[in-house]
Amino acid sequence: MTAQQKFSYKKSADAALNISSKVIDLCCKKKAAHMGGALSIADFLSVYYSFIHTPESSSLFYSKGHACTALYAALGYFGFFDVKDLESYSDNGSIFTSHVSHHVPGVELSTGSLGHALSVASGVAYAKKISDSKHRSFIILSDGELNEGSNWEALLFIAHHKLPCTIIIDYNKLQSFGRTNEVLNLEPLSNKFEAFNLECQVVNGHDHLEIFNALSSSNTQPKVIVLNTIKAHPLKYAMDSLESHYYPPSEDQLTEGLKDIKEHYERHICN
Amino acid sequence: MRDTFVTNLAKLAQHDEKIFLVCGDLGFNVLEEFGDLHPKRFLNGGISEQNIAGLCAGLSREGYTVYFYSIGNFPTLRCMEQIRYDIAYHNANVNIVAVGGGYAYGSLGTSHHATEEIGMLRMIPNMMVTSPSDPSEVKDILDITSKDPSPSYMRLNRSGEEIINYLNPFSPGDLHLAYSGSDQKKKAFVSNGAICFEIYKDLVAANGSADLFSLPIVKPLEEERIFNQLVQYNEIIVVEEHQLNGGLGSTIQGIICDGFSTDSFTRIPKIHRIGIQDSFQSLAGSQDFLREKAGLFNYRDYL
Repeated sequence: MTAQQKFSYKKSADAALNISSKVIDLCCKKKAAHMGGALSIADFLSVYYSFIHTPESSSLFYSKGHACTALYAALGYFGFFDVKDLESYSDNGSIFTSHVSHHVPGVELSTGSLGHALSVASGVAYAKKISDSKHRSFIILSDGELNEGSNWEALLFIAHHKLPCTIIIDYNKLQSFGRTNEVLNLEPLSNKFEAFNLECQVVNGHDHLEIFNALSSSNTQPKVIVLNTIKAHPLKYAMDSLESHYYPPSEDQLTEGLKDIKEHYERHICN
Repeated sequence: MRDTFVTNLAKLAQHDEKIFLVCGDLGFNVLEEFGDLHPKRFLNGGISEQNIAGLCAGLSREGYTVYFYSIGNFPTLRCMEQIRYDIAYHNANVNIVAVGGGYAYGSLGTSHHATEEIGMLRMIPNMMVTSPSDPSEVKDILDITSKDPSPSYMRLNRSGEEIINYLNPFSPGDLHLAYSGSDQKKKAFVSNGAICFEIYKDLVAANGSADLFSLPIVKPLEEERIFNQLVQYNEIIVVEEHQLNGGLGSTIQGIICDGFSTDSFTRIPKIHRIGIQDSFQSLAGSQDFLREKAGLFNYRDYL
């Protein structure tokens, strides 16, 4: 896999600023949960849609469906639909359900029950492989989601058939009711993937260039990218907190959070 | 039934290059016929039914008409949520085929008794649910599911089942007349799956004075047609190798009751339901032994 476009901090940081801002704005206005896990993956989505994705060359399967605000905000920002449509998020009759819906333009698969998307993506990748297509499937999983056994069935299958899949783990180290190493310890995580005969790379999930380089170096083989991330990044009041999985920001926290996001990304935009 | 399934699927795949067969590490001496003819479209996904159900949904997104073959509870109950969410909700072209319906794998124990799956799958939107009574209905159902892009389930028994000489043509969602012996529409049996053939044999042997209908497609149904046919009888005996809860008997009861709630009929046929009464069979035994233990042969009281 080669990158479709040349990397520029300005482009992906601008995207991340918009996506993260939209996430906390939606969570505040709609009193919605799952802000923390949406913010931890916003940088990856910004890089992927800025430089990697084209409909012909790749599909993104978003397995951590609860963190839907980040995906919806990214798809809106990148023009899959009018971002104003997202104002109906979670309202009665809206297509924007609070777990990812395939009725939203740009979404490949409805998710919400964890441990499903990797299997579906493996079927797509198998079909692509036997038709000699250059297409690649990208699958985003949460870390807590790795508790689900179905993922490990899918990893066996993907490794055995050497499928063109890039598996992204959003390793923010917090799951629904505790720290991942306290609930069901995943460590040594990268060793587990390597023991499955999968290439694994660990990168800073908030460093756009590291993410870009990891994505750009993918070839036809399967690959796992573990993103070291921080839940609710870069909100000072909420980072690395279990509460950010549940509580929406108050009006004051929204104001403060938007400022944090602006300050964080403008450093990159001005580079 | 399973041989009819594989032979006919392999034949269909010769003309339809989108037919794909996935198994869950089962099918020794059965599926080779398909795999030898179409190696690129045959996949053993390993003992991982949850993953296979999802990957079948993925294959279908790439235009394949996918068949997922395994034993009884494995491609059904083991991966029920993948069926509901990845397959049915996305209306994926995935057709699940389970061999060993009911007590067909009798002595293998409760793990291999498929006695709840029809009721569970029937409740899932978009799913066609089928339980053919003989090899000819297996072929009829394959002809439908290979062309219909919606998901489906087909329960097979094992192998060696005989053909029923039906008295009317197969019609999707409708009753299939297997035997006619009733004077003035007094009594009809309704059944499906391999136990339907047992009733057929008994009626033929006894020159029985009842009609026998197979209902090989459990969902979707031509409910009005079924109502109009069955309402003419005085007595209906529904026989199923399945739990009574949510099975064929309750389906027929529902159709009859719905018909009476909307039309001006004044007479309700007596309906007797024969099936498994909310229980497991934990002893070893042949299919017939376990049927007997479960009281399924009590239909003979009505012959």
